[in-house]
Amino acid sequence: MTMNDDLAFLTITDLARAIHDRKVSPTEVTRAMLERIERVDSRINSYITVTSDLALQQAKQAEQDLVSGKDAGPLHGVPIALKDLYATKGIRTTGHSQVLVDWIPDEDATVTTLLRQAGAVLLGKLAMHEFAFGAPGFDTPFPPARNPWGPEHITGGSSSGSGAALAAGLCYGALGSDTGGSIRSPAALCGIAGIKPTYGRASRAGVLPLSWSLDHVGPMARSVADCALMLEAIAGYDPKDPASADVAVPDFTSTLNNGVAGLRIGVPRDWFNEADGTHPEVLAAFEAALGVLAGEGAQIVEVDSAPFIKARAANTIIMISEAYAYHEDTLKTRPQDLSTGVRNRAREGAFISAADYVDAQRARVILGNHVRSIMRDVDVVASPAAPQPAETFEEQDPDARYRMPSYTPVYNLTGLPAMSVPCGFSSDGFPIGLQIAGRAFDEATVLRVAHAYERATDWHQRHPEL
Amino acid sequence: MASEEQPTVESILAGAKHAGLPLTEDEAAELVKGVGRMQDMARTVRSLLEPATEPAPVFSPGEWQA
Repeated sequence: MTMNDDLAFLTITDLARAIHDRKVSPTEVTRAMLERIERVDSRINSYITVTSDLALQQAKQAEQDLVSGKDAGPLHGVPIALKDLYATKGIRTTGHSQVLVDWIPDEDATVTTLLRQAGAVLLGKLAMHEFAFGAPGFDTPFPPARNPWGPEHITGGSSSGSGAALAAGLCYGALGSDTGGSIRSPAALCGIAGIKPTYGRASRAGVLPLSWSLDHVGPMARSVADCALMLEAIAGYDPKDPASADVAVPDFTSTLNNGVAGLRIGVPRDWFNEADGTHPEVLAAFEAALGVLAGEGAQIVEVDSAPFIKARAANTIIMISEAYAYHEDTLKTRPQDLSTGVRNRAREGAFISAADYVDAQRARVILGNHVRSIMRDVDVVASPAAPQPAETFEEQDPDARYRMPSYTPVYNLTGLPAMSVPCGFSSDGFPIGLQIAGRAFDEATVLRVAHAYERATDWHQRHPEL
Repeated sequence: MASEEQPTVESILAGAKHAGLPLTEDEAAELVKGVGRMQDMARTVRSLLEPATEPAPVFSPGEWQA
């Protein structure tokens, strides 16, 4: 196998096969990836820290292990990267912020450890929106990640570097985090796959928080099967995370190929329309995606839109309140170390009353019950993942963003699993995402539906020219 | 600050003082829109809770695990 772009854009599934068949070694693929990062990343700024020496050392170890018959599974020897809010022992972890610019953790996050144990090779730490909060800023210590499909365009966030690096072929898998859509939005806008699992499915111990009761961690990759492989590696009970769920972790890949024949896919149609700000090309791509799933044998069923429409306000009140609690000391003692956007947004939390926060948590239960009652009648719910394709940095307008619909926060509020998978491109060449959400701890069905869609289309096989 | 009041620079400065949050007048002016937006959202949330006599559910992260 030659070290070319075809290698860079392999899926984990294919790379793992190539490694195990000795067609390419972990050291060869890691070196090729590091060279590509060196050559390409200055155009998209997806990495904050590249851990070249560690990566080559881990790759060499993986090679020795595999030769001696110690096989840790499909991630063994596979180069991956982490959003820069996962603690990495001995490696700077910044949250993309001046506040933590020199922080070197003494311990790994639980999921960092799990990926190490699975034999993954760490290429480095990825750019993000500062503290996973707000929009990409130019007043942070590192530049914002740019969209590989057009560097004047945003990536979506807050897992911006994770989306950009995967779309650009600069890693094979990545971890993002998601408090209101921060895995699914960059997955949609960068044309890759990403899953936010059920609340409690994967540990947040050692992960910088944005909002404790809404934060989720999850994988991003270039295929649904790769997301399933990574989720298997990081899922499971962890006493270090008080929200961690002691629930058995299934083999997510074993049911991927079961197809969608007979499954019921709920569609809350009143949730998305052009009048509310959803781009017509997003709506067209979504309808075409439903057509594909129906063609594969799924039954499309209209469901009540009300709880989906109403969820965002409660999610925002909870998120901003909890973010203020986390950042309060910084806002009082060194506010100049936060970017203007994050500083202002966190300060808004000081003006949300305790009663407003409690009411938002009460509304959360009511809305959650409603969504779960809808989910009892369908296997999954489908929607667009984002209302618009990637806008330019110049077009960013926080007021307009709040006026637009948002399809992701409802699943943070309810804790239900949801993923984005590529479902088309805008007329100017930017990716569009399809969101599939499911019942609690039923990531397997979410992945199965997304995989069936992916298998029937070729959107995920397109890559930007860099 | 009562949620029904439209925020002003003055009310934001007063609220910040109450919270012990250092804030200049210019910084307070930057928050007027955002604080107003939070108040709108709080009103939307309250509208979901009528009637107020309903028992108050409390969010429990693990409740759906049952």
